[in-house]
Amino acid sequence: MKPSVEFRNISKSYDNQTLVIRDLNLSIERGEFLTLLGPSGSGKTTALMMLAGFEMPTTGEIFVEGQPYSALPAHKRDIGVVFQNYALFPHMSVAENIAFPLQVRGHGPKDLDRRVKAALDMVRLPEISARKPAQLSGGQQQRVALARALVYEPKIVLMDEPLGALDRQLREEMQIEIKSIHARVGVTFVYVTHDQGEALTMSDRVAIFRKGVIEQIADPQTLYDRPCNAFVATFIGDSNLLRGTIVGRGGGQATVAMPGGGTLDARAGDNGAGKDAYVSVRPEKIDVSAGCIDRGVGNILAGTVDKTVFFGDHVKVSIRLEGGQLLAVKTGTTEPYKNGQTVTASWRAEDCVAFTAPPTRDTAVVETTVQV
Amino acid sequence: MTQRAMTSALSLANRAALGIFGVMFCIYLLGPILAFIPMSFNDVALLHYPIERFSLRWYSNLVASSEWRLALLNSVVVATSATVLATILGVCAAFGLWRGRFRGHSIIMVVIMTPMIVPSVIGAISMYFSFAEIGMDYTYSALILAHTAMAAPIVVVTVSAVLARFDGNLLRAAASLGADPLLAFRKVTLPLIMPGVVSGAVFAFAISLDDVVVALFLAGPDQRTLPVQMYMRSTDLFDLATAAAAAMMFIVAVAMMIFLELLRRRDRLAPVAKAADSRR
Amino acid sequence: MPNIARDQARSERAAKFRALMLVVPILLFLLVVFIGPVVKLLSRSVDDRDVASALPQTAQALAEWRWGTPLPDAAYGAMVGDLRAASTPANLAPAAGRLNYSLPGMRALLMTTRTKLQALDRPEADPKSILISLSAKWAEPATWANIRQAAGPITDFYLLTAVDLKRDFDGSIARVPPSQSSFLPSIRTTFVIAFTVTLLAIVFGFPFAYLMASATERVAGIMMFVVLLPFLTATMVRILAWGILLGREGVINYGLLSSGLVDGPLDLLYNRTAVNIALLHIFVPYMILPLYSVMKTVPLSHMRAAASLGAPPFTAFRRVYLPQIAPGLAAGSLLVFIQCLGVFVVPAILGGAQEQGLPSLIAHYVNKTLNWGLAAALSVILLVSVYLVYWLFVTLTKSASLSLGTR
Repeated sequence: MKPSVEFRNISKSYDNQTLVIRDLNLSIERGEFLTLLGPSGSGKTTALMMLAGFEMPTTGEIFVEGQPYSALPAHKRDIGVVFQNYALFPHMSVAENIAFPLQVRGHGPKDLDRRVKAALDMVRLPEISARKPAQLSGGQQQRVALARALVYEPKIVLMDEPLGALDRQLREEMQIEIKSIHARVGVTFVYVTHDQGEALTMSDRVAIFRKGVIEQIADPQTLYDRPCNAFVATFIGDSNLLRGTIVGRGGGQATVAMPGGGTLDARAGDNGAGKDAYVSVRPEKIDVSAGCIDRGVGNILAGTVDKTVFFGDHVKVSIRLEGGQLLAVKTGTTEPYKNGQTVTASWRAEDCVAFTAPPTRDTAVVETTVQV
Repeated sequence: MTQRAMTSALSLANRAALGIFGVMFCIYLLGPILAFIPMSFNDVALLHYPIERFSLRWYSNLVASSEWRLALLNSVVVATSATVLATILGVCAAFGLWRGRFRGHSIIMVVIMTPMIVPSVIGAISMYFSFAEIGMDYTYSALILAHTAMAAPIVVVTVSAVLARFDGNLLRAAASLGADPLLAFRKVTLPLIMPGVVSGAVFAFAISLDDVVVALFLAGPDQRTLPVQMYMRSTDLFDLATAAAAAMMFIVAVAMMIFLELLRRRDRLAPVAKAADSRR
Repeated sequence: MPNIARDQARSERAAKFRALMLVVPILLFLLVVFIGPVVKLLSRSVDDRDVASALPQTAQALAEWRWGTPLPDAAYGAMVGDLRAASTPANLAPAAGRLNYSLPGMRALLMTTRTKLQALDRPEADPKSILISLSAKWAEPATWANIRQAAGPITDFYLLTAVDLKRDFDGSIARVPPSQSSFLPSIRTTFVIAFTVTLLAIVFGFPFAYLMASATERVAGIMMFVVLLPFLTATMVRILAWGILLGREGVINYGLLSSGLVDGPLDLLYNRTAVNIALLHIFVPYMILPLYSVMKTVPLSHMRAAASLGAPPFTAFRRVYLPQIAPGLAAGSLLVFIQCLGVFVVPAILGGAQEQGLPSLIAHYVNKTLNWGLAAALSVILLVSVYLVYWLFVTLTKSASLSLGTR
């Protein structure tokens, strides 16, 4: 079976100088929920806009179900789009908005009513068909936009940061709602967001964009547990990134010497030949205990408590390691730590990865994201 | 800014002075017209205050005079035709400029603004000279075309201002839902920018109705418009038939004013503009 | 693959092209109906082909002649030939008119000479003595120099005349004696009135717009009504209203007389003050509306922030408020200034002889003397002034569009 969508060698430049998208190859399965995730300016929205037909690729070709699509005007593509600000037509009622794509396609009035009603039922808003968009709450507008993009049963539905304007609680509700609608209608969803939590919750697969290229494309679990480079490791979830020097390598493992003394065993994240290492370890994988003890399991580093922050269900402890680097640890609330107290942090070798290439995001920025 | 902004910057005495100035300036702006208009209802021919007997005799004189009747009709015909033409040209241009974002955008704008920049005397004699060469001086067509040229820029400016607040994503949405560009324009753009289009048309009508200079040169005795007729009679400032004509033009101004205010209140783009992001 | 890229580039160009096609109609329309005619008019200010086409032989014979050297004898014969070739006086009229502008008396000289020549038999025999016998003016080098200077095809005669300069027969540029000059005072009048009214519009419009921007919504609405109603009322109505207010038998004099404050009616009309007052009334909305629309956008917090940072009110106004409303002030001043430069009807009805500026002169030369070349030259001066101001505005505000601001 042909993939639902295929980007083949797509590049895009607005000024014929800098590439917003660089040689993108991406294949999306039928019925898949794929999220394009990345910081702003990474090219994810441009990719979506090219698929929708609002932007033209500079080179390359986009195929939808095997057909070349790049030269096809947007209105002939049969792709549903939910816009960031919903783009509901303010002069039309909810029902008129949803009926619009059907009228354009020449559906009769009877069929129209039935399908508009069905679409509103699907997004659980049967009562508001006569209202104007301005009279709706943000969440309701979001649902109407979704109903409008689905009512004509397009092959693919594109969503461009559709939940960006909603508050946190509503956003979480809508994530579940969209996921369940996706499960019901079974069409291909391509979703753009810069919110990693949203991406991990909803997607079958997530493509991580950075500077116009995909860094990694995988299911959420793999992304979290097996990031392919330091950028993905720090972009998805919290991650410590400890700098050290590689002293041994082999069998998919690397041994890293820390500047403050001691060595770490880690999975080798890449095959780089450099000596500089960036060891990524997630705060919740680290055990911390008071005093200077050696329990003999995996990696052990000593340090002093720099700061603790209470979060209710957990405590974040920031430890200043020997050598000056900070290590963030997420732990249970059992033991209260004092600032300056000597502690030992330990974690299993398989819970950390050593990369030779630095994350191109500024390391200082990475450190502040995991600081507490 | 609210009233408190002023308190922070100005003392109470200054505020009082500013308030008095505001009232005086309002009187300056409205006073002359409000003093002038009632005179047309004065029964006595000479200027005479207070008005002792109200009468409509100057209005009946006006309607009875074939000269004034023709001028009235000419003004209506010329202003209406020029408004229709200017609105069509102006809306197309504003939409094209908004869509295209051309490299030479500001040069095109300078060209479109020409009739607003060039002093009307120069425009008037230029058009007179050129129309006369092809035998079109002293015709309705020449006058209508000239007024169209003078009124089209204001339509472009007004509609462009509305389009600047129009969310381009709505057209993308319409396209994604299957509407071709023409249908999207008709069903989405036009209804939403309609208040701006009509405002532009009202301004265009006002410009045509206001013009004396161009009509003075281009209109023959048969095309004489109301303002030209008033100009011809202005040597006698106290001709009350002129006052009656002025009063009628004032009523048109009031009607346009009310119409514009209603349009402003109906502006559907206002709430959307807040939600819309800056991206187009 | 390259084919696809080319297709895509083409379809993007096609979208731009479709958008451009929407702009083309208005551009073409304005080009044909307005801009073309204006350019054509302006070109008449340097166009000088009438003389060469009516007196072709003479123009050729004089081409090499320089002031101060003896006149070539061929010129006389050429003149006789040209004049005899003009079968009707109408053939000679444009050239005669043109020569008369630069040297009064030339029209009569040419016309009478032509008539007398028609009556003579074989004047070609001794053209020089025959011409001089018909009029002593043919013996004067100035007559011939005038023809040579007007032989075209282009001239600076009209443009120089418009700024009270003239080209002497030896080619140097000289001032016209003040007694004959008439244009510079008119140009000065135009600019003085425009400056005065713009200044008045700032002085009165600024506080008014400020008052409007800081008033409650209801009061601001009423003030907007007061500004817009006269603005939408036809200019003619407003001019007549001022005429009736200020006339000798007008409302103000009526009030003064009946209250016994004056013994006889005051002359309030047909002077500079009346023109300034009426122009301010007509154009001040062009100042208030853009100012108001920018003033509305300046947040209150900025002035408060400036005050909290220790800026006294005037400093806060100058350093924080004024820079933010500068675009509105620029737009308002431009609109008022260039409209004042072009105003024609107001001085014509409410002003005296001292108030008639460039536009009145232009109208005069078209209506009364049909001197299109001079009207065109005066138009060039007016238009160049207007566009200089507009150019200044475009460079300062980076916007070509003149908007009154959205309400």
